[in-house]
Amino acid sequence: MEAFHQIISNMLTHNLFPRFQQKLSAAGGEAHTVDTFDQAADTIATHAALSAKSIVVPPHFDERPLGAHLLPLLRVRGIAIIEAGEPASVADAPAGLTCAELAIAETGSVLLAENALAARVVSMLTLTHFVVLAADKIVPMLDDAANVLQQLTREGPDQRHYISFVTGPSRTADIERTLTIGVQGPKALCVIVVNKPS
Amino acid sequence: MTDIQRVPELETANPTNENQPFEVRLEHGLADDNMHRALERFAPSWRESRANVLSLEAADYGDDYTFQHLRSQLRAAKDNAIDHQPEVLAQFKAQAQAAGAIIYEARTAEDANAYIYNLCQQKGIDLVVKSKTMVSEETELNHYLEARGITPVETDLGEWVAQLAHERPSHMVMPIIHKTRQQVGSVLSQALGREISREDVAEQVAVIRVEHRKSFLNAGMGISGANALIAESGTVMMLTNEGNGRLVTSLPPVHVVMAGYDKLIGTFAEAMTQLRLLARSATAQPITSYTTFLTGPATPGKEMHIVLVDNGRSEMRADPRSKMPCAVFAARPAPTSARPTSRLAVTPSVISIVAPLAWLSRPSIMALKLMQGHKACASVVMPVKLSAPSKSRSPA
Repeated sequence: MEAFHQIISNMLTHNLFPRFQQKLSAAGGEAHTVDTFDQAADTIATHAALSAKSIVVPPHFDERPLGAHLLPLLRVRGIAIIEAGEPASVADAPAGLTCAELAIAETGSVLLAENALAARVVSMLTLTHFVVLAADKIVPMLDDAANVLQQLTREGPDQRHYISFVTGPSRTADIERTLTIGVQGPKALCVIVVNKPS
Repeated sequence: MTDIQRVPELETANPTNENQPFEVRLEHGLADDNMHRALERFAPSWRESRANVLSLEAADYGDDYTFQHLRSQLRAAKDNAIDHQPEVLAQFKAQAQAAGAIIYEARTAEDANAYIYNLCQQKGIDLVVKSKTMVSEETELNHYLEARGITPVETDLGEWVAQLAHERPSHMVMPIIHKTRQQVGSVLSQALGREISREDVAEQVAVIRVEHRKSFLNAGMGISGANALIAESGTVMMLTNEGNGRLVTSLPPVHVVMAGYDKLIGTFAEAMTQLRLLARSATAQPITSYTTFLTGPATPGKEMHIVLVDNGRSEMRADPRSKMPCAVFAARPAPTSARPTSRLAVTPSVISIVAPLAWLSRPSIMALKLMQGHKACASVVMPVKLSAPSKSRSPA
């Protein structure tokens, strides 16, 4: 049953990534699909935003499943991992890395749900924001996300108070409708979808 | 902020200066070729972009995604929230309070402004950052705070330029659509006391990023609006593109949400329908860069206040004419007694000026309905040449 579920889920994912990527690209973001964490680490470490060889992550990121896999692989590649602290210290750091609860194919969005301020500022104040998630976290439609929002906001100790759909980099067209990227938030968004996270 | 006070000479030259009577602004507006060019460029290209983005979605997802279908879905959801407002409101309040939010119900604009000012006073706050809050334009919060020694800084790019120029935003989504890049450069140069490019929009945006970063990190309070108040979970939904909304609601220790009762909606599912229509109708984007869902304060020590603003809305809700389509409603002005603060009678001829803007989206029509009878109405109206719509109408 578990295996069957995995097959169905993979089939769905293979259908969903291209649409997710297409929608995110249209919003000015980039999406990559990789098979393993090793390849995810390669994608991040060789990215132009990593020329300073450092990346900011939420506090205790290595205690989360994705972080536990990814951070050692980044260190091996010579990348310094910096845990986020005060907002001012994160402001305009060249690169930040977070994980997402969900991705939505319909809109090309990733769903971030962090209560801790230091975790949130990584996605708000760094110049290039990397997001890693497992392929089975992509859902087809906003309606699927509505169900997850219901669960995440349910009263209790695990209630998520601050949730964002992030769809591309920060942008404005306020002046003569001229599109300009990177107003208050990141200038680039790079989402990496890992097909075989285990 | 001293920067803001440094540009009084702009005030007299400024055609949309809010201190001038509507008739004077109308005359200035009709004579302003820059504004005509900007709006004539914008109107047909916006219409085309929206049609494109909606037909693409309908092709992908079928008939459920036509504009008409989504619109009637959202209309039903909003009508339901208005019809059952007492229950929807009670649920929203209970859920938001359970999540740790503090709710204040303001009957008038003065009540709302006074509540926020008192909060600042209690906590010794003298710098406030704001993300887009149209209802604070209605209550004239900035004036109220400034008059009492508190500096509010608009952090939406267009709203800030309008604030620096002592103007009101000319449109909810595109606050400075009536300004050229040269005018923006001149406003920034005067406000900052150094020369900022009059041609390079990227440089102008970069300057604003640096200026606002300081305000975000130093402000004691952040004030945001709400695009929806979701009753089932007590969640405030907020859409931004620039990322300023997330900073305003995250960095200062106190967050105040200002929202009209008209933002109440029942469920996340209904909010998703609103999402599908809102950005497409506003900027022809499928979705904005950031859609944020706030359910109570996120961290210990952080405060979240939700100021629900009535300011005439319950009166309007009780009026059967509020259920009529905008044009019919507008053609029958409410009795003067229902519009105590009006500077401008809403007559068919005024609505014909407003109409090209009102067509922009259902939410903007709702807003015009809601603002009818209020001072804010006269301020949101932007003078548009009456012949412009027919000239720019596409042959199709």
